[in-house]
Amino acid sequence: MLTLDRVEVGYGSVRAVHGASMSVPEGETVALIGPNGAGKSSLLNAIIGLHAPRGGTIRWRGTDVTGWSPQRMLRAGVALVPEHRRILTGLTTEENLLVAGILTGGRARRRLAAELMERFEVLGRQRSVPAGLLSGGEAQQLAVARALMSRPSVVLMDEPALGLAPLMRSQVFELLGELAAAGTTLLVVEQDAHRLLEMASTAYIMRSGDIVASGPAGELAEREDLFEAFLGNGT
Amino acid sequence: MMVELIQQLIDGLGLGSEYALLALGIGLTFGVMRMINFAHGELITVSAYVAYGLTLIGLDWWMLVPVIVATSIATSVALELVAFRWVRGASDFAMLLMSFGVHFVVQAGFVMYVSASARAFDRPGWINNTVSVGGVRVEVVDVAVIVVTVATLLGTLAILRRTVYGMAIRAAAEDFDTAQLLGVRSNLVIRSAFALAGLLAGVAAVLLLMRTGRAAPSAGLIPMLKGVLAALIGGLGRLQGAVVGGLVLGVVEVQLVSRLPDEVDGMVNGIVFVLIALLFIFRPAGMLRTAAAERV
Repeated sequence: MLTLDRVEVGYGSVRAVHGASMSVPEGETVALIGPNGAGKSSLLNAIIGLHAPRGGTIRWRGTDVTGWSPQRMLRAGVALVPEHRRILTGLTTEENLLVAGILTGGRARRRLAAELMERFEVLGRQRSVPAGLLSGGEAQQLAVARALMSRPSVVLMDEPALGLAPLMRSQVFELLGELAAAGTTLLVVEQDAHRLLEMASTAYIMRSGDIVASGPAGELAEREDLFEAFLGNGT
Repeated sequence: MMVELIQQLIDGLGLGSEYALLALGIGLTFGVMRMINFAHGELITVSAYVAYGLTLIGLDWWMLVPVIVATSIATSVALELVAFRWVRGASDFAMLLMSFGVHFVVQAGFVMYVSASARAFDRPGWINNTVSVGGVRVEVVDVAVIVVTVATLLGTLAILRRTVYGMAIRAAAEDFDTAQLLGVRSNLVIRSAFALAGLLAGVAAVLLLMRTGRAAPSAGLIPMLKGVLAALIGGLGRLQGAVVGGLVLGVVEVQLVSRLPDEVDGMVNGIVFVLIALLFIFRPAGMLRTAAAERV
């Protein structure tokens, strides 16, 4: 179980997250939704260790992991698929995967990369291509495959379908479904709230740095009042 | 005329090879720290004094080569540990000041505790030998420099392309945060880059000291400046660009020396700087314009 207890995140004088508390049970998919600037990405970055929280506690399987570096979090089994994918464009597809497996031993790293390039066929076909030449959908698959190189128990996903064409978005949600079916714990931030709530077990709604509502995803999906009040129409 | 041109080209490539080695090292450390290392020449200075000291006890040149390279690597990593690690992520200005500070401190250290004047030591006996190839007289040292540089650059390329640590350096040079997110340890990648830069500067030091046979507190100053210029010509952070920049700078410099009248011969460096200033007016990103996908 990944638990957050009154986690605060800030940058300079800006308070991005004001005391967020949530739980992500193992094997489940948890949705974190909210409008732009709600603090969702800041919260994920605090969990993975890119920005140390200013307050509160983050626990993973009972251990206090607050302020751990991304390397320690990866070793502990927590990986992040970052917003905008952040593909290393100067490296090839395969090199992106190999770097992401740097914490794994040499042979195991190459074997895992080969497995993932088999699983994500489009990546296997373009293994030697500079990753900057991949399409948006292909790049998203690479970002997910990269996160899987550390064999994580929980994957944090920051807007995995952002900027993708409708067909590609569907493919990304199918991929999320496959990962969830394989038992991977997912904490997903996504603006396509309706689509995400269909597959999540629990959902949290954030607005202006606060978690303003939470509950079973199915129930929240029915609450049109919440959508209008906190997310605006069309989400 | 043609023979003369070929000779000048070989001279230029020989000189440019040394610049390329230094530029590549400067490009590597810039890639992972976003700092132009103006103390890069100190690797040559320290190596030169170690070489001088060892020749005093009668060590042969062939024995000196690994010692010079090892000294340069150790000095590069030590400077990172002692000085540069404290300005990681600091402002460009802070990093610039630190690198200038290291440059002046090392230089002053040799002036105060060794000597302000240069110390000469024996160069290898074959250094002035020439061979004639199709009417072109080529200095053996030029051939050695080109061969050693090509081998070193290919080796460096293999490290950067084939090993996961090389890939991590390239990843960090492109996007440090993302590299960290993927599990790359910042200490490891920055020290690896400094060690590799030290190796390249060590090879450059061997080639330079074979020609000059002298250790002086300012021995690394001009090579460092030329290395920085070559890196800028190729586009900072573009490693292939650094190599091309070094070769271009060497060839242009030799052409200028051979074509300028004797009375303005001393102005070669000044003219090179003016040409580079003109280059940046027209191509601010350097000579090579590559797509992001082709970087590093």
